Amino acid sequence: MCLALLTLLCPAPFTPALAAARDLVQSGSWAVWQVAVGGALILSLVLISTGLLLERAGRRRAELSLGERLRFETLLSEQVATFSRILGTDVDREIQRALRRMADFLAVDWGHLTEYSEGSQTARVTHWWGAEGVEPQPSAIGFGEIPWVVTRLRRGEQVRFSRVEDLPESGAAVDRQTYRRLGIKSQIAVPLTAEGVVVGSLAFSTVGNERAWRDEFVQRLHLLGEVFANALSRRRSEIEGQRLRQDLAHVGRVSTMGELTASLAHELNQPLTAILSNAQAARRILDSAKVDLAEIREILTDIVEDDKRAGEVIYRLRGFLKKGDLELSTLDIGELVSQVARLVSSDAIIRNVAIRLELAPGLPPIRGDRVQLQQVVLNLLLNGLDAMRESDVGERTLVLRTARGDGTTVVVAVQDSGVGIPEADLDHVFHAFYTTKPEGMGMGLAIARSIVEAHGGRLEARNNPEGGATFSFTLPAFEGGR
Amino acid sequence: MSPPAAPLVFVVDDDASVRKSLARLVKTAGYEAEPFASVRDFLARSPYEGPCCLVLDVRMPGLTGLDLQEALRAAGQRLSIVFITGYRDIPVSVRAMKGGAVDFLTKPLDEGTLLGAIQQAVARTLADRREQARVTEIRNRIATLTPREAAVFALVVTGMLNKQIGSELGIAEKTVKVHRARVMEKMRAASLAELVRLAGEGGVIAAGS
Repeated sequence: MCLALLTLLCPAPFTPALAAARDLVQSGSWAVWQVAVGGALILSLVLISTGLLLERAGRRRAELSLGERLRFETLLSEQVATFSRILGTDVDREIQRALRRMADFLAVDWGHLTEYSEGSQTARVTHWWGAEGVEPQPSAIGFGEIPWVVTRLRRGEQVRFSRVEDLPESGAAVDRQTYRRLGIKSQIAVPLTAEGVVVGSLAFSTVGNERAWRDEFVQRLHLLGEVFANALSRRRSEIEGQRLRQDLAHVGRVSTMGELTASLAHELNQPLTAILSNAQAARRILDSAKVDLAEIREILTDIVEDDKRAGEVIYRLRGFLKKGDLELSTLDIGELVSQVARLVSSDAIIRNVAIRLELAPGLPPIRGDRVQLQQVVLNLLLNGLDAMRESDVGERTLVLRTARGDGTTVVVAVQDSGVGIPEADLDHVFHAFYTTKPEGMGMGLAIARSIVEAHGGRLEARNNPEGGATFSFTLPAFEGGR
Repeated sequence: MSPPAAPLVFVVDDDASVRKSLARLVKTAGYEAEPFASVRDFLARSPYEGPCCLVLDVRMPGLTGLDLQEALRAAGQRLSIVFITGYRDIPVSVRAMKGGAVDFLTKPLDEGTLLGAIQQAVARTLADRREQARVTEIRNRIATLTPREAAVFALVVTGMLNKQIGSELGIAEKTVKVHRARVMEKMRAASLAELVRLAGEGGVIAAGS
């Protein structure tokens, strides 16, 4: 029996020793003693071997865990690096990617970020990743559905359960119910904090199996949560900055509109004058003895044309005043510049200024917000016109130039023949509220610079050797444009 | 004889639609119309002797409507102007009216007001030219006077008696009488009163020499 046990226990290499023992048993009582001693020897050998084997297996598990941890640390440090360099606009995409990689690594079914809304008392899911074939989770969960969990997270604590039954039966009864309803078997969640306030959570869950969560992973998840929270709060402030810039640009446009009112009124007035005169002429022709229908037809054609022209003025005006979101599109800088030049053409006539366009052919397209960039060019043109108020009439020339810049940029320059900028002021012409105009707000150039910089360009001012000043800005060429 | 030509209205406006429509409207009212895109274009045209007027935009690239008004006055051309403008600019309108404009109208233009102003401007041009012709005629007559006759003329119209004129000029009263008769004849004046009026219109001032 003892032998049978040994046979069962012993791995293959010990089989010859067992055979020898069997022989000894068969050779009598002396032999029995011998067998007992030998058996004990063999047994201890077996035990030692088994112990060694077990120890080896244990070490392998520890080594594997170290490898996992290394992979996990690598993954985390990659995330930290990624999130420290990306732009606000890429945050969502990167969070999504990070969720997927983490969920892959942890072999979980769901990974998600929520944002707490005090108003609606819900945790809104802002980013979600689910394994293939797993049903998506609801887009928001009421605080009341998981009160125990939310209370803990909002205190800055983590929540971890390997099975729903791990949640306290009395305190988390509602939470248990909710998780069962959602099919969540296990979860680990850490709070997301911004400026010391818990604003949401990061959680990973399984729906298929219950599972245990390693302590070191839980610790590290806090770090990842912080990385996400930082990125989100940076994006929020970027969006706010952008909104502020748009508001400013809108203010700028409205005040520019004030300056432009006279010339726009004129632009509208011309087609309206033509329409009225044509209509009156047509009525007189119809009242006359001999009605010239061909003439009437021609008049009507002209009326239609002038009406379209008036419509275009209004359309342009409206487009100009629109307080829209940043609308990125691929733009031809020459076309954009010419449009603005047309907008100020009557203003220039009134001021006896000749605007000369010098557009470089074949410039690469750029990518940006049409209206905002128009605003920049308009501001520079109007500044140029203003700068020449005191110049001799014959010398009032404004050159609007486009060119290829250094590397992959395009340059727009507005060169006036006005009074120039006092050297001492060259440094702060772009500061808000710097103005030389009695009626000016001093916002034009400040807004212009912030718009150009938001487009990845630079706006600069310098005095021309031959008098007057040149304002120029660069914009990155959009080489990826088709 | 051909019937008298319809008065000619010059339309100067840099906006093609505006000048075309205005020319058209003016024609429906029985005028001839000639459009110009700029002051320079208009100045290149030879002066028109017949009844006419000018419908002139104030603000244009290059020379403005006010520049043209100034140029016409400097050249002694009598051509009445109806200014049209897209802007209600009081200083400019005051300057235009002081410069002799018939009217200063704001676009879009009311047909009745515009045609009324044009009619008035054509009449003003004619009257101005008659006046101008008359002054020229008087000046021509004055030009036929000898220096002595001119001197007598200048003193006669101040109301001096022959005797006083004689002593002023150091000549005999009888000689003054002869010169005076020649002046009346050359100036084609029937009376002293008429002679005084002609002197006023012709711009003769008492010779203070």
